[in-house]
Amino acid sequence: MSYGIERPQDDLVWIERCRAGDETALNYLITRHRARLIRVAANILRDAHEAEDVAQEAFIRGFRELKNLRDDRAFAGYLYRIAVRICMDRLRSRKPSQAEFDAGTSDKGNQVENRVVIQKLLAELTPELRATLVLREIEQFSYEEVAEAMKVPVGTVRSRLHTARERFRELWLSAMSEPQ
Amino acid sequence: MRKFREKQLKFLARESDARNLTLRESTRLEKLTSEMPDLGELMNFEAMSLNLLRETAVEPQLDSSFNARVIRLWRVDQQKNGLKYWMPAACGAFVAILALLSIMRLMTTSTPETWKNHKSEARRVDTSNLILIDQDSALRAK
Repeated sequence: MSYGIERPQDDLVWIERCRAGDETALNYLITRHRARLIRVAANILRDAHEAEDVAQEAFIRGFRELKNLRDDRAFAGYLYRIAVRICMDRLRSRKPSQAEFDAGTSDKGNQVENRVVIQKLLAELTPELRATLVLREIEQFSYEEVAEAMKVPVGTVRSRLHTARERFRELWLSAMSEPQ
Repeated sequence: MRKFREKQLKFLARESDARNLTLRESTRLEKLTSEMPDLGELMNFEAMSLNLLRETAVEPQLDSSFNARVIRLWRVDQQKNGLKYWMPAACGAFVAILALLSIMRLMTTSTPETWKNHKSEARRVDTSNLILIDQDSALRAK
């Protein structure tokens, strides 16, 4: 499993071909980035099905704006930025009581319980804190990559991450001290 | 003194989540944890939350038709942005504007004609010389 934003050098050739409307190039770029993009969205939203929709939308928007992209090497980061923005918009539009649990994966017993607890804790965080925490802790993006994906300065990422960890720990302690 | 060491232990425990501690910091953390096992335990328990977050990461299954779907949507998107997509709407709008203009033209040219036509106007007429026909008296005279 790879972590951080992948920036393959040969993407540049494919991006150029993509601009010319070559569908083989589109297919290549989608194959190259889809797994990671869906994973990132799935972990922010905690919903694998919604994550596919987000990735799909991110690809369409990314390809549409390809003509305006100044630096082709920034394509991957640009895709993640779009996906993260869509995820945050979706989190904001979610109702507080909306169930987020997605049992689409093959977990059993305790693992499922843990998932439910973690999802409840994440639901208590604001979209910004949640996305920052997920990108850093699960996806293991560097501070710079998180900053790029969220379009905020690195200092903001550091402070958000600190707040998110503190809040997550507090929520965890209070959830564990509650009688089951 | 105890408060200062507690603060130091908390700081180092949290820093260990954020970055790799230096050898000196790690040694200090170990020493403080052994000196204050209760607090060390609490810190470990807190650290479990982030470990659990990492362990419960969602691993979505990839749909084999994903690429085809995106490419199909991209084609539709391209069409939407192209001239081909907007042509029927543009033609419709042009015809509608033409019809509107011709209706307006018809209305503006016909209105003055009706004003010029005085036949339909109500006029004051001198009725003093008019012979009134009283139907009842005429019948009686017969």
